[in-house]
Parts: sequence; structure tokens; C-alpha cells
Amino acid sequence: MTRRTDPHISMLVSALVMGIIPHVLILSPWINACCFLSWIYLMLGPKKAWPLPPRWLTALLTFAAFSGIVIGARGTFNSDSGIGLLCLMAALKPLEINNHRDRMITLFLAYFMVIAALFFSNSLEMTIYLYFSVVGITGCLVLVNHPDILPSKGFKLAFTITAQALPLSLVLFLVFPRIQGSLWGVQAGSAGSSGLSDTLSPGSLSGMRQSGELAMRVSFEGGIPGVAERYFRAIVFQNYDGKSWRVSWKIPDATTLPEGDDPVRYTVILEPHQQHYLVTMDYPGESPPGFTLSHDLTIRSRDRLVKPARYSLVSYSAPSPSPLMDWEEIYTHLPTTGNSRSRILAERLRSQSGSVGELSNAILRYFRDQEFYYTLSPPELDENPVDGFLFNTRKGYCEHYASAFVYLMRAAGVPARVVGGYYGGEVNPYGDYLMIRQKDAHAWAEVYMEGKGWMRVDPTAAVDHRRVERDAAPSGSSAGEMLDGRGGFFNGISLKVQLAWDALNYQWYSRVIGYSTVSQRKFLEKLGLSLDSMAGILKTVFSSLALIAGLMMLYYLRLQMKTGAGTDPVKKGYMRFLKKLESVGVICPPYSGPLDFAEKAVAERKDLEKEIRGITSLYVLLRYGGKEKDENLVHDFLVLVGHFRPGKIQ
Amino acid sequence: MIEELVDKIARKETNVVFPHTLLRKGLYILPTRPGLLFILVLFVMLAGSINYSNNLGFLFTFLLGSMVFISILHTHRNLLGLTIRSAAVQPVFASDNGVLKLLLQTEERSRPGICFDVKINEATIHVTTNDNRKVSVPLPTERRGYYKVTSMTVSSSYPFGLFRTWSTFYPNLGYLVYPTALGGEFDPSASTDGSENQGSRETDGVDDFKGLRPYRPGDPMSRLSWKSLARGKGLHTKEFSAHIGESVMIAWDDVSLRETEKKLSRLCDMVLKAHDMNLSYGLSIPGTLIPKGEPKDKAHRHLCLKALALYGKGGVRAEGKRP
Repeated sequence: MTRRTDPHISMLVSALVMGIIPHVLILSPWINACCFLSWIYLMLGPKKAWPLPPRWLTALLTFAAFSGIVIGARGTFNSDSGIGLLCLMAALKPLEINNHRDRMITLFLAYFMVIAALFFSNSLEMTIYLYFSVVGITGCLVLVNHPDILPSKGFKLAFTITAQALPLSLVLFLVFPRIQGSLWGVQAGSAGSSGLSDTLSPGSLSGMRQSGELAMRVSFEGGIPGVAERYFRAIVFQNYDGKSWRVSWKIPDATTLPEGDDPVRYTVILEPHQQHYLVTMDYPGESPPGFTLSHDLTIRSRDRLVKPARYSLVSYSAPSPSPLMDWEEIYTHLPTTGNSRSRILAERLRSQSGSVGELSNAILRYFRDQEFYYTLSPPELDENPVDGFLFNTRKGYCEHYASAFVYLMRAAGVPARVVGGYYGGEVNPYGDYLMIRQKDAHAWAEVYMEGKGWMRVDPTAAVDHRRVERDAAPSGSSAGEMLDGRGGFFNGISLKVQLAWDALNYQWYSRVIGYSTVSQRKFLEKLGLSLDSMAGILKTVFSSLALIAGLMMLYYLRLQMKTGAGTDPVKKGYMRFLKKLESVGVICPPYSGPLDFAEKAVAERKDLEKEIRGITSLYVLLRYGGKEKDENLVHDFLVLVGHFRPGKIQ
Repeated sequence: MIEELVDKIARKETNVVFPHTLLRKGLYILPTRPGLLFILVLFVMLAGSINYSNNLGFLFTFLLGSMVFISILHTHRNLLGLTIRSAAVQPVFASDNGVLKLLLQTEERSRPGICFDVKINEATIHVTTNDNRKVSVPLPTERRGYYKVTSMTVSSSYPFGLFRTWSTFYPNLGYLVYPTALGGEFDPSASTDGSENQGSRETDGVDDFKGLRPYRPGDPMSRLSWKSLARGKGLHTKEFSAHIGESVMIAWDDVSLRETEKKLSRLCDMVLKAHDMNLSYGLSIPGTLIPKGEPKDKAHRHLCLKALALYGKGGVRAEGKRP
């Protein structure tokens, strides 16, 4: 028995293509190839009279494909393999479509692929694309169910219904209760990475990532701070093994919180970076719910960050001066051997300075006076990287300077640590917020000073600006300055468009993507609803149900109006008259004219004869008697209809 | 199956007469199987969105959910107010094509994808149409007898196929299927009842030339007298007379076949021939005696054929009002 290609195949394949487009880049090439080959085969099949593969072959293909997924996943089944599985199903399912149910399942697969795409990207442009792919797939759904109607009509209907559903879905979106945490474990995918990592090895990898990708957006309650104050801390590196700086995971929670009279309140939207920390301005005085503030005043999370995080914090420019804890002697640890010339330098500088502050300044002066260069592509360093940097190459970027500075401090017996984070960023003039990109990643040092606590020192800033390579300047210039002069006219335009688009994205992220339990509460409070008491919850539930019911009613009435009288008040009035009669059991059959019907109605309700005849004759006069424009008559007619009460027996 | 249950529980609209308008009461709506599956898929999506606290997941799940919800209104509206103006069906001979013609009436707006399920005896005939004016439902005509339309279901799953709205009603409607005519010899003289043949009138027949009469519009061309036309005498029609038995009683025993159905088919053939020959004929079969009627009387022919159609099927039942 040869099976024939389904007659609806082109519709089904179009729907699947719309569904797979967002996934094409993350899918393994062989899965893409499977989909492509299968669909091309099916589309050309009817024309070339190719038979469908027999059942045993389909079964074999399915088995092979699933084994491919299992092997490709190498034992870890994460969301990437889930998407792969979904797309393989989309490739194979159309090969065995037999009946209407199979077609519907194929279309549901397409919808499912759309929804799955949302778990990988939630940018505004992706959302807009996905909205239209929902419209497209819905159009296919209409046409698969009703193949005889015109395709343009099917897609138009899909567009209409999707648009009609939008207000309703927004209400549901706003009021549907959000819970914190997840129902089951979340497996991280591979999408996204960042300029920061939890190891820092100056000299091992030449060249630094210069990505314009957005890392985070920050909006401030007061004004945006000046460039010099825009230090955003993320990671503190404690351990140095002679090559790399690493994060110690044994840091206890914070005991003394920073305080002061210069709190900065701000909100961060952090792009997912697959790491375990949040980025904060300077020293945060608290941590968002679900995260812990560790002793070095960085915020850590148990899970990797796989989706954008939105949090509001208060930060201070300095931590509170607290005595050094016993365990904090790790901040003076160095490997016992290696980098001997650096140790001698440190010893010499220490003997010349009377305090930690003087020592720090001496090192910075050393960076400034000697021939140190700032470059993003420094030469590689081998065995003793600190010695190599300080005495041979003297070329490097922030990591080299911070690392060398902290090494020297520790060699001189002063507690010091390397801090990784971001610095600078550009102001978006359309949105009044700061955009920080991956290329703004920065590393600096913190030194412990008796009586003052941990103080920030940025050794990179010490480099003579004449020795900073062009195009490698640490960013910090605001986008506004760039708008003013540099670059041609078209560059200016495209930059403006980019900034405006980012401002739109910012609103999107902060209002839609970042909508949380907290924002939901705030939103409901604005409406005078609360979720604190049982009564409040009930009130909220009922108001939202009422709103939804109201929307539906409105919509239903609109549909009714379309089917019925439209906007003509006279016809509407007559319809109302008919409705009133219908409610007492006198039904007007659609074929009967007004006069015929009046006879019939009078025969059934002798008591209403006067009213029925009066209204009918007025109606006939208004509609067919050439009195359409007579406003008084229209008014009389409507009043008569209004007062008509067939329910009362007279 | 739930739908059948609903139809069972619901107040039945029996003896529905046309025109019949589908009103809100009596018009039900339920999800189809794919619809139920889709609702399940939506719940899976919702669970995923909750688990990953994915706001866009929420947004799109609610969008799809709202679309399903709104499609209910569209589906319901697709049938609400539809009027079936009339349903007409003519008697047919077994194995001929019989149709039930339904005339619909709707407003300007079109109603695509309307399905009619007409239940006849135990069979159900399914017709899907986009035509909002007339629908032809092919009827089962394999065997002779009386077919009753037990119920009619109008349904639609427009636009998404996720919900189906339907209305079932029970019209007073039925049709006769006559036996198939089985060709064979028909010799009226053989069965002519002599006693009733007395004082017979002469009727127009085909056998003996009787004379000429002036042409009347409608006379068959084969009987035109070309000779008289050639002689310049104007247009005349040749008249013949049936020289044997002007009236005939078609009787059960006239047919020697044993099988009842074949016998009925032969009798049917004889009735048709007698009618065509303008005889005055009657029918006598066990249990039914139809006296001779006027020649060319179609109602009489129908009476005879009906008797044949219903032979052995519990007598001549009320045929119901003919539409």
C-alpha cells in the first residue's frame, strides 16, 4: 500500500517553518538538515510523485533521530536537547500524517516551538516575530480545518482573532498570580555568555573580549552618577596560584552592612550570564530576596543566572570600617615561590613608605613613571606572569594592572584583593538609564586599611594617558557626547536609532520581562487592590473576573451588532422591539416582513394590539415611507419602543 | 459521545417545521478532541511558564488561551440565527440518486464550514458546505421502503476546529423509495379482468390507427402526419387507439417469479408501463387492493408504487406530511 502525501502538507510545513526559524541558530546542524530534507521531500512529493516512506522506515528514522539526540546530549538532558527533540518531531511527524487529528497535532507542535523559543530569547524583536508567527500558524489552522475558504480570508481571520485576544491576554498576564522559585529544577542551556568569568588569568589568553553586547542596564532614582563613580562590582577574587586568580566559595555571609549618608538607589536589569553572581554598584546594603550577600559585599546566587534578573538595591560608596576577621588573612596569601623580582620590588617600596596609603601610591607612581602601556592585545606571559609584566612586557589591560598591584601589596604583607566587574557605561539619552556592555568589563583592586576598611584602588587609571593605545580607551564617555560630534551624519542617525531601540527594549525588559510578584503587588496597589488578606485576594480575583467578563461581553455585543442592525437607530429600535416580543414567546421568523409579523403578533397577543400596530406602522413609515430623515418621528419611534412592555399583562 | 449525551438530555425539538431558525437555546458548544488536546498543551505551556517564571511564556500562553476562548464566540456565531427555510425530498426508485434539498437563509455575512448530519433510519449522512443558500444531501436508496429522517444535526467547527457547535432537531420528514423497475413483458390482455372490461371507453393508445385530428401544441413529433402536411392539408396528428383492454388490474399472481423483491420490481415495472400506456389500472397485492383509477393520474401511480414500496413492511404507514 503506498501512502499519499497529505493534501494540506504545504500549510503544515509553512506553520512548522515559522515555528523553527527562532531555533535554527541553536540547533545542531544535523537536526536542521533533518527538518530541511524532510520538508523539501514532502513539498516536492506530490509534484514528482514520490511515495511516502513506508512505516518501518519512518519508525527507523525516528529511532535514529532520538538516539542522535541522546548521543549529542552526552548524558545531560538540558533545554537544548529538549528543543532538538521538539524540532525532530516536527521533521518526522509530517511523514506520517493520515488524518485530521495528525494535522492538528502537527500544528500544535508548531505552536509549541514558538512558545519554546521564548525560553531562549525574550528580546522585543523576537517577541514581535513570534507574535506574527502565532498569527501565521493560526491562519494555517483555519485553512487546514476549512480548506475551501480563500487563504487571504483565513489569514485575515487569524489576524483579527489574535488582535481580539490581545487585551484579554494582557489582563490575564497582569493578574495571574506569580510564584517565586520554580516547580522543578531548571537546567541551564548554552545561550549567552559574558565578559566576566570566575577565574582571571592575566597573560594566559592574549586579547580581551571586545563585545558590544549588552551586559546590564541600570536606572537610578537620583541622577546618573558621574563617570568616575561608575564602578559596578561583581566578583571578588581571593586566591592566587601563581597564574590565575580564583574565587573562594568559603566566604561567610556579610556581618556588618555598609551604611552612610550617601545611599544610591538604583534598579538593575542584568542579562543572563550563566554565572553565580549579581552585579551591584559599589557596596550594596542588602541583597534581593533569594540571594545572599557575602562578607566581601558581593551578591551570590545558588543557581546560575539563565534569564534576565531585575533587582532594586541601595548601595554606598564605601563599606563600613570593620576590623579584619581572622579568616581574612587569606587576603595576604601568595604562592611561596615564583615572581621573585616582584617580591624584591614590593619589599623595597614597603621600606620606603610609612603607611598602606603611601605604599599604594608608590606602586601607582611606579606604573605611571615607568614605560607601562595600556593595550587590549598584550603579549603572552609565561612562568612568572607578574615579573614578566612588571619588568619585561609592561603592556597589558586592567587585569594585568589589578593583578600586579594586588600581588605587590600582598608581597608587602597588606591584605588586598582583585575585584571584577564593570566600569563606565553609556547613558541612553532616550531612556535616562545607563547601558553597560560586555566591553565595559573591568578589574581593579581593593586594599584593607586600618581604621578605614576596604578601599578601592584602580591601578589601570594610573597609566599615563599618553601611553594608552588608541581605540582601547576605557569607556565611560556617554553616548550623548558621541552623538554631538564624532562620526559622520549617518553614523549619528544609526546611533540614534540604536539608542532609541535600546530605550524601547529597556521599557520592555523592565515592564514585561521583569514583571514579578513585587511589581504585581505594586500594580494592584495602584488599583486599590491588595493580596495581603483573604478578603483582598477575593476582591482581586473577582475584579479581574469581572474585567474579563466585561471584555467578553463588549466583544460579544460587537459581534451581535455586526450580525444585526449595525448603526441604524431605527433598525436597532425595531430589533429591540422584536427582542422584547421574543422574550414573551412571540417569535418573528426571519422570512416574515414587519406587517406580516404584526398580524401574527396581534393574533397571539390581542392585548398588545395598539402598541404592536403603532410601532410597526411607524417603523414601516420610517424605513419605507420616505420619512427616514424625520428626526422627531425617529425619536417618537424610539420612545414607543422604549416604553413597550410586553411582559406585563394589560 | 458527550455531544450525544447532551442531545439525549436536552429537551428535544420534535416535529420541527420549516422554516427553522437556530436560536440560542438548542445550540450547544463543546470542545472537539483536538480542542481538548490543545487545552492540555496550553496547560503544559502554563506549567512551563510558572516553572521558569517566564513572563513571555505567560504572555503567549494567555494569548493562545484567549484566542481559543474568543474562537468559541466565533464558532457559536457561525450557526446562531441560521435559518433552514425548507427541506424538500421526492420519492425515488431504489438505487437511483435521491437528494434532500435544503434551502438556507442567512444575513449578508457568510457562514463557512457548515456540516449537516442527517440521520435516516440508522444511517447518518454527512455533508459539509460553504454554500449559504442551498444544500443537497444525498440520500440512501438501496432498498425500497419508507425512510424516516429521524434527526438532523447542523454543526460547525469554524474557524479553528477546536470547538464544535451544534443543534439537533427532529423534523417530521421522510421519503419513499419505490422498488427498482425490472423490465419484462407486459401484456395487459393477459391480466385484463373481463368483467370490469365491459363498457370500456376508448382511450388513446399506440396500436391501431384511428384517424387524424388537428395538431395541438405538445403532440409528439413521431405522431405528426407528414403525409397530410405534404399534401398541403396543414398539420395533423395521427391518433391511435389501444385496441385491447383499456383498463387493467395488475395482480400479484400475474408475475410468476418466486422471489418477493423481484416480483415487486416486476410489478413496479408493470405499473409504470400501464401508466405510460394511459391505461386505467389498479393493483392487487396481498393485503392491499387499489381500485382502478383515472389514466395518467400521477397521484394514483404514486399510490400504487407506494403500496409496492411498503409491501411487507408493516403495512402502509403514515407517510407524514409531504413537504
